[in-house]
Amino acid sequence: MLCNVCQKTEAVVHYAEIVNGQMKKMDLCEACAVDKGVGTNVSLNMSDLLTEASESTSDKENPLSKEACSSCKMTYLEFKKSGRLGCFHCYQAFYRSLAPLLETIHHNSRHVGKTPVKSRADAVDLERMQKLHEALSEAISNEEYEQAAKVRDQIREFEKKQNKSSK
Amino acid sequence: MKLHVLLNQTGEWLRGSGPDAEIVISCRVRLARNLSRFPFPAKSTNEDKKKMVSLLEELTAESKYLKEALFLRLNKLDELDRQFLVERHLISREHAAGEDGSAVIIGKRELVNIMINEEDHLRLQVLHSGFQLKESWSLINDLDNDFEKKLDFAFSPRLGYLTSCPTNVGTGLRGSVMLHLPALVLTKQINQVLQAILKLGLAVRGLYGEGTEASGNLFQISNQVTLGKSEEEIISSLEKVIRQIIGHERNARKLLIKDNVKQVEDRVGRAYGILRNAHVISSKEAIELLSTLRMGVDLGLLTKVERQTINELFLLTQPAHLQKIAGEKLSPENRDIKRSNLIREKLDEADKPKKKKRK
Repeated sequence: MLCNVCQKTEAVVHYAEIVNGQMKKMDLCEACAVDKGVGTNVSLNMSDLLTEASESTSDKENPLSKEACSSCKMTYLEFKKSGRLGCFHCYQAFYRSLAPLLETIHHNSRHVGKTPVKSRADAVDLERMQKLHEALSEAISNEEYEQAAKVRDQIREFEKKQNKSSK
Repeated sequence: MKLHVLLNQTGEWLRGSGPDAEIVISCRVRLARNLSRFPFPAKSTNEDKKKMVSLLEELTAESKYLKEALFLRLNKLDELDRQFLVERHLISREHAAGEDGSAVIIGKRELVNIMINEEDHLRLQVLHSGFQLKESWSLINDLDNDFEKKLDFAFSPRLGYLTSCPTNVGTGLRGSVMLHLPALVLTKQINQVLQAILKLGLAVRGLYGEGTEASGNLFQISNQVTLGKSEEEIISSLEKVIRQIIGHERNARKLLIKDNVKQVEDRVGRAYGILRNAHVISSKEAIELLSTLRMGVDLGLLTKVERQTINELFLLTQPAHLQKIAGEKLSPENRDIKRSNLIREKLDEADKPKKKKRK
């Protein structure tokens, strides 16, 4: 059987896909399967989600999109490409972009499950980060740009401090 | 060589036993965890990874949950062995492609296994046969607690366990259930059911094994959301959905027997006839026919073959397994021959002790 997509190579990946409520049988060769992102275990397509998220907050609006995590040096663009963060500090470094993304994926923004008895719970104070970001959004929507700049500086300083203290 | 131990045993999840085993092949619960000491695998150095592997090797020796476990460094395994582990669901395809510093811990009877330095530092996983999601969660939770005493996990009170990919953050928990749904497919109700599942925010995958095989009416259903729900909530809502699907499949099976028993018997009989007599068989054909055979067994239409035999054949007829059994690399053409030999052998064996003849 030949691959549905390229019609050239022998199909080795067989699966069913649901498009607009119709189940379609797909037979693909290895290369086309990789192109389609099947055969790996990623069930949610991260790059699609990230593109979606970046459409709502364009790179201009988002001052963090060009920045890098000060701990592992991963840039937001790098994350956008791979869908993988470099270290747990990235959650803080890219918080502004990640928060809406998490909302899209999970329809939730707060953990309610298990907590390790022994953990470095203070390693990443995302609670404080969230408050700062809320203050920033509020300042921007009220057009209080001086206040916004202040909060932004606070965020940067906070990030730096956190990264230092956790090393 | 260590892997031969696995070849000669049936993993816990293939036993074909446990609650609702006529529909639920297996269930699995996995937890994603990262150590706070190291960057995630995408940014950790080979040295970091090697340190982590050594650390985990020590832990394995101490943990009561990992007695008699195999500890394998993936760079010591050749491609065929890795493929073999992928087919057994013990490592992912991504992990199989991993470089230095990737390892896997395989617990006794393959009940528990841990991928090291896959997408996250640790992927703890429990695989049970039949419908035992709660048991799977409880066991993995115990293992997690045991590890937590010795390891510092990356965690934030707001976002929970921090993972490489934001799709796993929070509980880091993914529960998935492998279902065999031949009657829903035959009665053409499967689309409706799958759509309803998708609407509930669950993921459906039709892929079996390493993804290069046909689906054989096998569907894997798992949760997507990991943040904002407790582990127990995730497990019990998944369980509820699965319970409903089981109900639908049961009804469809009853209906088939009531209205179309001759047609079903015919299908099962033909599948059996081909499997017992074929001399060349592709993996796609084998899986489709084995699926029909399993349905025959589960409906009580075929009594000479046991469910476990069919489950084993699903696995043993996959490419890497055939090659491990043969002890050599085989071309696809050769595999098709060996595959048919193996199936005939197993079905002959199943037929002998009872000495019953088909009508």
